Amino acid sequence: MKKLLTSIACMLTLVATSGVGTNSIWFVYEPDMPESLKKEL
Amino acid sequence: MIRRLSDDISCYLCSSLSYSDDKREVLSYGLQIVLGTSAKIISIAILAIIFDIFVSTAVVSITFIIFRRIIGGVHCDTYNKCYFVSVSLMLLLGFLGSTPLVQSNHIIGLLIGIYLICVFITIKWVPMGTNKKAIKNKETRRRIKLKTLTMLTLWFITLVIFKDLTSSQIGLSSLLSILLAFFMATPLMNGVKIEL
Repeated sequence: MKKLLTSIACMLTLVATSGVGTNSIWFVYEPDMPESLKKEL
Repeated sequence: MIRRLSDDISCYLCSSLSYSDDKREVLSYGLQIVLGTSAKIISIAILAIIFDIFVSTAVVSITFIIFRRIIGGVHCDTYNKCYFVSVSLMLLLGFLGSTPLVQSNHIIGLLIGIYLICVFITIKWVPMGTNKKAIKNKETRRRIKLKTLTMLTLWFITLVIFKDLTSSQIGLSSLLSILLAFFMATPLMNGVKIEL
């Protein structure tokens, strides 16, 4: 169970960080970006 | 709703895996992207099938996503507004793309005109930020401009080469989508312009 949760967490982290170098994640809504990710802009 | 659901799931994940609060915010952000995007894709696909405009809507959506990720532009302030605007715009452009508005021999003229407009917008404003997120690093901005120009030129060449093979429906859908994506990256749409 813990392995599954860790995999989900890794995948979500990947999705979250994949949007850092780009300007828009997808359509016209941008969720509030966490401060820890804003540092990478 | 998406925000609350994402916060709840990320809290559960972090308590199970003993992650920090910073990590919880990142997971919640990732979840909002995954859940929000999935809801939109499913809605657009179902409605496009119902209205029998699936091919043109798919072309519009794919072209829009490819460019929008790089060039940025205006955002809605709430998820609900975003959902309504995104789904409506994709379906509207899909509908326009599926109607014979332009003869196939006029597509090339439109293509050149729209390419030049998009090059101008790229040089002048891309990447366009928002209040929530704006790329300020000069080198990153220069790299994004170059990437956008390269992709735009590749898109232009592909459409010119395959204009006889693809239907005017696909060509027009792609043109409309590019035009919308770049129009959203201009100050006219209230984006945040970074002065350098």
